[in-house]
Amino acid sequence: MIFLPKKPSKLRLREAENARRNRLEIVKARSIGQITRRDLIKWGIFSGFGALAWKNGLNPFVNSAFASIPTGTPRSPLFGVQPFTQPMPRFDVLQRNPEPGFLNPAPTAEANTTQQLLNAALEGVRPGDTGPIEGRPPGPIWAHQRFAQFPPRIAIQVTQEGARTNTTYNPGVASNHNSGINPATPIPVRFHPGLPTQELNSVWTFNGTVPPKLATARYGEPLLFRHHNKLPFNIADNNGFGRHTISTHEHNGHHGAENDGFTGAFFFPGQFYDYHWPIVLAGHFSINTAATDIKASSPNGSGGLTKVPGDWHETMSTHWFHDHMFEHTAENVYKGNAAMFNIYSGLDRGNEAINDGVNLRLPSGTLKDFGNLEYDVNLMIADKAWDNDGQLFFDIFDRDGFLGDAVTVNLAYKPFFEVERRKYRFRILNASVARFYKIALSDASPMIQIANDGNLLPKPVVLTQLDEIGIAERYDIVIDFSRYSIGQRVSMVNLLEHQDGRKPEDALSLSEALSGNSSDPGVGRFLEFRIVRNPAQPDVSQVPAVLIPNPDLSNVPVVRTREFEFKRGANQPLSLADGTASEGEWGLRTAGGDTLAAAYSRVTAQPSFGASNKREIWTLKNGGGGWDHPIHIHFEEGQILSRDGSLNNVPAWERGRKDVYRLRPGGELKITMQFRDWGGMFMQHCHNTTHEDHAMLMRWEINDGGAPFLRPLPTPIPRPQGVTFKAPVVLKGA
Amino acid sequence: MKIRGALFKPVVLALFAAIAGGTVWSGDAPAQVAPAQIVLPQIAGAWGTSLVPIAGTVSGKPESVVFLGLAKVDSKLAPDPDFNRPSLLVTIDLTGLTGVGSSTRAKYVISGPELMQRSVAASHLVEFTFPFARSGAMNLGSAQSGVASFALGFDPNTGAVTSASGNVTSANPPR
Repeated sequence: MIFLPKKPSKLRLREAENARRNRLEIVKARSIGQITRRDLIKWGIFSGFGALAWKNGLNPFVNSAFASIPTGTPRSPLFGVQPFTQPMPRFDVLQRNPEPGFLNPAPTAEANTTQQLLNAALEGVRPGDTGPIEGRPPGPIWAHQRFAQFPPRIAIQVTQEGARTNTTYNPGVASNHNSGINPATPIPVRFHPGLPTQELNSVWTFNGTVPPKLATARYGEPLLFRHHNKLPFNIADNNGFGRHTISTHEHNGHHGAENDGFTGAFFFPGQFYDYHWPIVLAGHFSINTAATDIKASSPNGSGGLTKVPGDWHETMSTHWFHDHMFEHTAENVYKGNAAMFNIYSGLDRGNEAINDGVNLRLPSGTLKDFGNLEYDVNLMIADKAWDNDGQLFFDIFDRDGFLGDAVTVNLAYKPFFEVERRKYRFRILNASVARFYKIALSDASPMIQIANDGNLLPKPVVLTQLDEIGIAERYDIVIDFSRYSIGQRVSMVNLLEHQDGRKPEDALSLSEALSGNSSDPGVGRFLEFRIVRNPAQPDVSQVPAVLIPNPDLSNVPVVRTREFEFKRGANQPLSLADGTASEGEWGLRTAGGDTLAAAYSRVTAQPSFGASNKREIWTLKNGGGGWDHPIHIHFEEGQILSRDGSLNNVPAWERGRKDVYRLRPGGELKITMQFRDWGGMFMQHCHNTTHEDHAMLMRWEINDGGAPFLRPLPTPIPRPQGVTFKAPVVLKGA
Repeated sequence: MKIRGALFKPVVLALFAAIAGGTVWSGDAPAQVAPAQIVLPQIAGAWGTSLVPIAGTVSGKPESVVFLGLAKVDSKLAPDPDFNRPSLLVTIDLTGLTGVGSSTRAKYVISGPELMQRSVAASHLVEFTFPFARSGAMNLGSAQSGVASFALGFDPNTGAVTSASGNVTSANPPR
């Protein structure tokens, strides 16, 4: 197990702590680009397989004089903190501002290249150098597609910055729906009031604060998300991990590639990047184009509906957004670059009372026309670790996938949440680096799963134990607390035990998980519900027997099949010199070729752009049984056609639309995909972000035969002075 | 993952033989059902299917429910060529069980399946909770919980189930 047992001997603890300290300088040097993985291999610190060499004093797992088993990493000190002694904060709702008129400078279709004087602490910058204020690649290729057709009506403006106290917390609900938290009380960045406050550069979050942020939108209301990078100019100011350049991925937005958070379209401290999210249904330009179908609709603000074009079967609800910096996503997301995004529609409007024949009336609330949060609760689950000083700790040497030993919910260590005796919707996001979870209630009571990833299921599924939730997957569930009495408590429990970040090891029984005997500190209770009162108003919410059926693609021709195998042992034939190619032990193989490490300058697939009249079938294979990979395909939702060759192996909760596909060890699945409405360069990768960073990621590009999107597109190479481009490499058979 | 139809017959016969043999299910006592499972020839990396007779009672309100039927146990060994730490994947589907209410005689059904990963070993005690409800009423308001327990033997080279027995009991974990 990666972490030491609860009560190690002092000698073992000291040995492991020394190993951790010895590695810190190397970790830091690697994280800021002073040394490469190749250097580490040359020096004998990394093995060719990417594992940390078994050197005493460096590797915490090297056999010690005290035992023949690995010594492990010291557990995060808890400073006397007990679980379930702090309230769980609701997300901090980002302000929606009317646009035009709010953003200054006003957003532009092409990147704003107004020059500014650059800070000389930035890498490669000489005193007096200037660069553009916006980090988006310049010119028409990276211009917002159809910007004039979808002018932003709402603006959300955020920063990315070091830890600071939150004095503007907006939970979006009254404090009695937030476990009594007074939003006016300043909130320092710490995982528990009894744990140390995080230093400026230990944690980098949206706006520099906690709780994590929640953006909200509704269909038909284009949104401009302006993201300012206020991270340190000096790349070394990162407290040991984290890269100060960022690219923000709206996971799994159906937008143009320039707004997707492409891994190579990152921007620097001192710059902003305008992400234009039109918020349209897939099939916008080919299905229901006259907007006549009332189910394709959006709340109009006054209890009614505004019809929108597109396919209502493609309606999405629960997204999140996070960093996608090439080779550094794991560090940056772990460090705090993760937020959630609720999208509202006529079907899922976040109002449980409106009975218009369209609204599914899922648990939410009634006060507002849409987007009520009283009974619609975002949960971001992430395992963290901290050092002896209580500062956030990350280990880039762990190439299997970093595991934390402290489970947090909404960046709070094992909190409690007060609930009423009624139904609640929970939008659960696994925002970990490598940890999977399997969730049950501590009394084995039934839950009902209503959504998987961003999509409501065709039918709800009653479960007492959820399936494994992989990294980046979202499960929306409903729990009915009316079965409990006031004063009772029930907990969410993680049943899934890891030995390392390669894969989950054992699914434990509920009694085993509750026993406290697991060697994995991530197993057991992690969130306690306290039933505190009856609801003031009757619970009128529903969980209908039919939610959102899948689009019927049976008559849509399949124009191409592709196979991707996710494997170890990747090669990198491209030069690493310009930073567009990576190296690492993880990679992808396609079209019978080599297993290749990530290069965002290489186009691995060019699926056909279609107007709802064509589709592709992709086979995703896990190259071995020793690991699992949650594979994320950007841009448009897919449907799983089979697992290991049979539809019978696809459980009911995976029969909706998805954007993250857990392969399972040695597993294989077929999915059907369409590529509509928008173009450009997108990605497919493992969302175990350690695997992604080293280097299980590929670029694919929508190909329409030449127009209106160029084929293939030039690869951006961001620099503080401006983005340059180079011609891409197109993999044979792409 | 196909079950050969011809093999259903001996299983069903074995199940009825077990019942005819005097096995009685009452209260929470685990049923002693003969391990009359089917074991299909299996190779590493491929799914194999076994059918395991299982029975037991979930006590509770508004009534206790007696379950009886065949659990479908699918298993697969996923080899690990790099680290030699293969995975054992197990799927147990209880939807083949039927429950009968002890007082109303109403029919109860189980929602499933349960998917799990295990480290490779010659045997595993597997326990999981499952939801059940009156037929046609599987929803949040009416669903209840039970526990299924299995003693499963595996061929560590293929992942095939070599022996199996199981029972159904009430779910009484600490809250």
